Amino acid sequence: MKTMQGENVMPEKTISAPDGQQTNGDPEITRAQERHIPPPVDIYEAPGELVLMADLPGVSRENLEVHVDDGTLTIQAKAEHTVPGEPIYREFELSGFFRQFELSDEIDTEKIKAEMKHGVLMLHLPMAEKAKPRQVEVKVSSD
Amino acid sequence: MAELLPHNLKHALTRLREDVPVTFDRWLRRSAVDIDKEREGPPRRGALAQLRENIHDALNRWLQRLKRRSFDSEDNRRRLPAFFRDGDPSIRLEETEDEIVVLAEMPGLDPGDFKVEATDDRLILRGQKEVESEERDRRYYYAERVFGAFTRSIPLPCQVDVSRASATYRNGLLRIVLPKAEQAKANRVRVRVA
Repeated sequence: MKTMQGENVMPEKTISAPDGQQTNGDPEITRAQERHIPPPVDIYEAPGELVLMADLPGVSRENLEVHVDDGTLTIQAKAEHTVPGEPIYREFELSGFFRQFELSDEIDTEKIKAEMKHGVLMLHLPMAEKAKPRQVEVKVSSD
Repeated sequence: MAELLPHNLKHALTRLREDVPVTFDRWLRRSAVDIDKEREGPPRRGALAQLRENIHDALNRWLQRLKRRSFDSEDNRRRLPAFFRDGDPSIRLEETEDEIVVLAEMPGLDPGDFKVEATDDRLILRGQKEVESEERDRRYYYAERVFGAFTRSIPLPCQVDVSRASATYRNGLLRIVLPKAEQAKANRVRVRVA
């Protein structure tokens, strides 16, 4: 079993959980009498961007809402599957998902792109031009 | 060490420590029987393969116990550090008058990455969730999602008619509908409460 361990977590503050919403503290956030579970995420650096992957099983594109408001990225999904039967054994609840991250101004929030496939959200968070390390082209003259 | 581990984990680890020698004993006894049989009949399956399977079973039982005993709700399960979480999909069983419905959370898999097998009283899910890319020295800010191979064997609460079973995989959620066997329905007894 391969797992990515917490040791790799970066100390920098390009993206971080807002105060009071660290998931290891209280994982359940109750909003408007609905239960919401924070989805597990991976966030990693890619050339010129950060990539965020979130596991959102059972969530369709229509029921997913991703928005950035004043530097806060919100991922929110409604619970949609209902089963007519009696639950006889359960390891997960049919609840919605909710999680927020603070974005630093190194992220160009205007250009965030989202894809959804098989219940996994993939967010591309491009670095703003000013934050990108600039490559200076060096011309070597051959004389 | 003791104070590093939450009480429930310590308990589970203690049980594992007890389980492993029991497994070895069982295997040694069985292999002695096998050796006797081998003298008479055709050669049997490799003893090492058997041992490996037994240990795997013991570890699986331990993980199941860990999940059910200590982390009995979804919220608590998600609180587990990734190391203690296995890649097994979380499941849910629902029962209607005529059907058993199994839901399994399997985000990020392609339908070709997993298999569903059913017998009349058991459902088996097998699969492999791969990391999206081979990048090894990728810098992570968060790494909470779990990858790897999984096998889950789910005992069903009653006999089902496998020939009429159906499964759909949508948005990372697998839903398997297993119609109850006629016999199971016939065996149902209503108890009137006076």
